[in-house]
Amino acid sequence: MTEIKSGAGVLPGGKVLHGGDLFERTLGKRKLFLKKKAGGFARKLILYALLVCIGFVFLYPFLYMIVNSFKSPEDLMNPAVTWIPSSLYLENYVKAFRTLDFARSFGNSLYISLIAAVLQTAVAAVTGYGLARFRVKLKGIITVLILATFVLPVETLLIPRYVMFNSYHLLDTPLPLWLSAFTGQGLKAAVFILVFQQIFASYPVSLDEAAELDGAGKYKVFWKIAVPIGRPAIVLSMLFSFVWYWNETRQSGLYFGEVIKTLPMRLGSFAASYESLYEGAGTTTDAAMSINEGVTLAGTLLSCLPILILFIILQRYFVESIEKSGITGE
Amino acid sequence: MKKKKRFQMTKRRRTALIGYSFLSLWILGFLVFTLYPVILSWVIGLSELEMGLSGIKYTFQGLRFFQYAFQTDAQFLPKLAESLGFICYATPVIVVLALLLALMLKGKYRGRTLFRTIFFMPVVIMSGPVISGLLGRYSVDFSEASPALFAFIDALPEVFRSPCMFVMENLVTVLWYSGVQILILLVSIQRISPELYEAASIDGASGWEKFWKITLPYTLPTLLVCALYTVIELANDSTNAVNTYIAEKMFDHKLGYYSYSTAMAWIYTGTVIAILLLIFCVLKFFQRKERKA
Repeated sequence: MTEIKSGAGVLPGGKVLHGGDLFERTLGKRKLFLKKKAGGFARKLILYALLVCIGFVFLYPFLYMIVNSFKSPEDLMNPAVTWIPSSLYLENYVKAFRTLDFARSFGNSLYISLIAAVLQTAVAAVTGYGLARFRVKLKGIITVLILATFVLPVETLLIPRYVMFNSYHLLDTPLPLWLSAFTGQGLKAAVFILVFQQIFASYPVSLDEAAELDGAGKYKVFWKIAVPIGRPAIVLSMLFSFVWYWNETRQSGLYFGEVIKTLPMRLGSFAASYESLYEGAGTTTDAAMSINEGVTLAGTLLSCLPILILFIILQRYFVESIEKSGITGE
Repeated sequence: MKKKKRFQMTKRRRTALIGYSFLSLWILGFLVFTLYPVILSWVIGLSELEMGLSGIKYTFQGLRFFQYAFQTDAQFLPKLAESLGFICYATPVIVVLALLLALMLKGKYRGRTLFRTIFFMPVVIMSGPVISGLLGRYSVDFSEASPALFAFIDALPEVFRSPCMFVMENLVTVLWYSGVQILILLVSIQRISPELYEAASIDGASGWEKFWKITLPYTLPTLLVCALYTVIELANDSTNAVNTYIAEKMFDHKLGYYSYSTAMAWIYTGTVIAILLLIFCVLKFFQRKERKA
């Protein structure tokens, strides 16, 4: 098959290409198409206007949060100050940082979600490979059950799992979360398993067979061939598991929320902890001391910040991993 | 010959065994962390719990707690209706919006990555406390920002009015829930072979016609997945009315400790699964129709 560079040498009605080039080729063609088309400018302008408007609505709560978190109590009271605070007021952040017990809760969030994400990804890869590459009698049933675990709301499992973990004395440790992640019953595990299955089913079996002829066992084939091929799925699974575990508060709050506090949990009880920190001294009449919107929003921003930074650094991978792993349904 | 056959049999069996070894972790997890809890939750839901020193004592109560939810508890049914109503309204809106946004994002132009990043960002930071702290209070208020639009919608007949009102009131929430769907639909749209569009253009089809005759039929399976995903996502949201209520009642010892919450959770699950089945059937029906045509 001939190699085709994007944008160059693509003739209308060009011959059939291999799948990998399709995406690039589509883009290449569109470039040609746009150049030819007259009146594309007005259309583009409308498109941009629409996108900017929608983008603004998307970001509105977010911008509001950033702006108001820098406002002093006086600015917050003053209706004339809307988008630009009269001075950069950092006190909110100092208070929020202390209220969230940031360093500790950040550490908790980090190790709990990171380990859960690694475990979940590992087991999703293994299970996906098992489903994609072996003719197993129970395959149909297992696939249905995997989908069932996705459909079943967490709510129904919350209480019995709590009772179960309670009787095994696993509460107040992150183990309930890690154990369920490591056995493929974690957060949205079904999605990741199916993504891995899809990616592992999509490359030719002959690759596996060639390695086996060279003397590799099935496990070695998985490790040496399937895992490198499944890299987009690994990226996807790691990133999303991490983010979803980071943001999860319901299960973790119930299983170990009393002892180990993650960032979102701290945010959930923000008002209460703020009170005990700053208002307990009996200075509630002081306007600068009582909780206000600015502090709450600074806390919200701080609790999202680590994930946000991760997202901004890796945003290419977030978006690309979905594209490359090619989940579109079916 | 015979020996060879036996060797093949064992080889096949060995491969199957290795296959099962790949699946064993998941199977174990399913039995321990899903199947057993499901059974246990029925036991809890159907009996009254007593916390003793030696552990939990179960006394069989039949459907008492389920009955209580429907007949005695004045709060449960309205909350259930609220949550289900939200799901039913929001799902079509989210799917349609996601499709529109995916269509807008599909081309290659400057700033495309930026917009994708913006539209996807909410997925990353959405957690229960953030949603309840941010979305509930600080979304765009249309009745103030644009009174003319508000008045226009208010004057529409009821059939159009209430969905439009809903979208306006929950616009940001709805948008924030559509990040994953936008990307999935985008991938699906980009997969459609450009030759199809070219052929259609040669035959004189307009953009509008191309959308209905090519884009929509090809993305229909993805739309189905998106709709199901949306329902599951919304149903699982810990801040929705039913979920909050279930969590609230969890340690109410007058109602058999966990029993009442479990019963409510199952009622909720049942209705959500009914919605999922409905969506599945409707979209499969369309797909079949499309295939025939």
